[in-house]
Amino acid sequence: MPLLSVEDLHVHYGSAHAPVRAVDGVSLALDAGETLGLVGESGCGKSTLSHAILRLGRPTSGRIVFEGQDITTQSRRKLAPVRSGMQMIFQDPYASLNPRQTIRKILTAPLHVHGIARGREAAEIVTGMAEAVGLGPDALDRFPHEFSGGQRQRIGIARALILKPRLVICDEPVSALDLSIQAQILNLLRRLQAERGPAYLFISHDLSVVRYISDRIAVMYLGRIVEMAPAHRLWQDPLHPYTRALIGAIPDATRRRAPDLLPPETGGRPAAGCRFANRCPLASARCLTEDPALHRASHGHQVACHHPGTSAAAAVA
Amino acid sequence: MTDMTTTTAMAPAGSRALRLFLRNPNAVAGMLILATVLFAAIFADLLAPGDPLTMVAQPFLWPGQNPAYPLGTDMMGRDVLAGIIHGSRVSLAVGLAATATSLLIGTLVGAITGYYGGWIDRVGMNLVEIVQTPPNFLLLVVIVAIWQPNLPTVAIGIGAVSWPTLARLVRGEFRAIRGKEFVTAAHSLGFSDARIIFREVLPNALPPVVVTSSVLVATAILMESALSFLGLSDPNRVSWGSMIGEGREMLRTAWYLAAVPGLCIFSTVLAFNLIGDGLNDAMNPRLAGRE
Repeated sequence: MPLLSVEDLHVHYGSAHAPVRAVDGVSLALDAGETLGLVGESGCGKSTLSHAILRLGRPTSGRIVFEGQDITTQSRRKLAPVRSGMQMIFQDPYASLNPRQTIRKILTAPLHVHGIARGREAAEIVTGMAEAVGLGPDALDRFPHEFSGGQRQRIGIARALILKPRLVICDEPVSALDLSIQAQILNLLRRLQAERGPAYLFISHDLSVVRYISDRIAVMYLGRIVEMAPAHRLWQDPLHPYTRALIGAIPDATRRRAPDLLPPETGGRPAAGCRFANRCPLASARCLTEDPALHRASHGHQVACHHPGTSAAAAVA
Repeated sequence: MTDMTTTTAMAPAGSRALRLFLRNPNAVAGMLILATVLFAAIFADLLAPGDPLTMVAQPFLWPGQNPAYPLGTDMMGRDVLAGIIHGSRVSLAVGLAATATSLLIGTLVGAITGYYGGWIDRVGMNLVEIVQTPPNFLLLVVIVAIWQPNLPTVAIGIGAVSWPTLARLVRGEFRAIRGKEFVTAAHSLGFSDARIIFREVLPNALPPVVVTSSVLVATAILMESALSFLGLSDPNRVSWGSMIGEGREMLRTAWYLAAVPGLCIFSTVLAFNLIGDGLNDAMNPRLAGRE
């Protein structure tokens, strides 16, 4: 049984007759201790998906099962005990810490709320957690504004891990940080996973960051997963034209050619067909009328495309 | 840059805000006036022993005419200075109690409507509009006329008509803060609504509330004075407003009877406004760079 399974999840906003389909039929599963990377451009629904999984919003339809428990429509009261099992690391280390609380208070409150520890015992857990993320004991009685972005992100990680969650959703945890700090934080996340064993759902728009940390990668486009494969497979043998474009767009010092960029959108998005068709170099008549479902291409490799693996050059020829 | 200054100034560097506040000459002047009034109120029974309503000398002694009564006596031969000293108690007590009342109601209504939104917000805001529609003072007169006019009812009455300002302010702050990531983090940690409202959001909403409260104290003092002037406040207590009300009839022959308490109201209200301005400057993140 997977730790988390999401089945045909939809999250729609706005009016009923013209909804914004931020998440439009996503299915995925996550095993204990693994890292699933989720990439996609801004606005593709990554954050909406992560908020829905944590039940910070109410899904429109579909199912979310965490540790065998269907949490899709559970009330807040019933969710409270589940919360300690799933936590989140936020993108903005400046906005995600309460500016009026000391680090000690920020880290102690979750222990109190979930009745895990009080007094001396809580203080010991907090000190140990701070140490584990590389914060000295003198950091605990200071306020968030006294720290740099990287240190604040360490505090955010400590807060997410202090309840010993089995699932941590990392929502672009390094995209607000300098490049040198990014590597430190990524290594910290890897080390903490090895020591404490949480599964990560790692969300980013940066494919190279996701590749570094993930066991498997899911590529999301306009509210749907278009390709999902083990990290090395996806990197070596991308099947979806969108994934190929993403990988091709990464600047590479060893590759002496201009990155392949996607053509701009031509025309509107087809009503019935593939959501990528208006930007796809491979789009055929079928793509305009029939929406491709996510299907198995090879072992552990899924793709939603009518022409998987075809290169743009072959399509033209 | 804006990001940095905002976070720095929002930080609970209370000492920093205090330093800014104490460097502001207007704010310090306000504090000095307030300290004087406070001193008079606390030590009233030592400074002017006995009931200020008893006749002690011949009527209409002008200020300075008799060194025993430096501010003179009124038409009934009562010591004006004793009235001023004891009147400070009424003004401060009513001002503070009324502000506490409106803080309690206003913060609760504002926090709950701003945090939950939706139908709770609509109901709460309708309530605010109902209270705000009639002129404040008229509503206050009605409230005091229905109940017994004594100091607690006057204070509660003033609080009951002035909380909507605070409710709107707190609601706005809550609406801005509830969308911040640290509030989302609190939700994902499974914190209860009460905990999020009072421990996570409210401390961040407080700076403008503190500033507005000081101005509310001033407004409450004015309202109490106006009630006393009309003879609608507690008739058994001397207050600055009632002194003006009684002195009004002698305005042509003994203008000091109205002017002296008037000056007291003016300076106390000014003091609270100066303090409010100083607090605003010290706590406002956009002015944080002006050290």
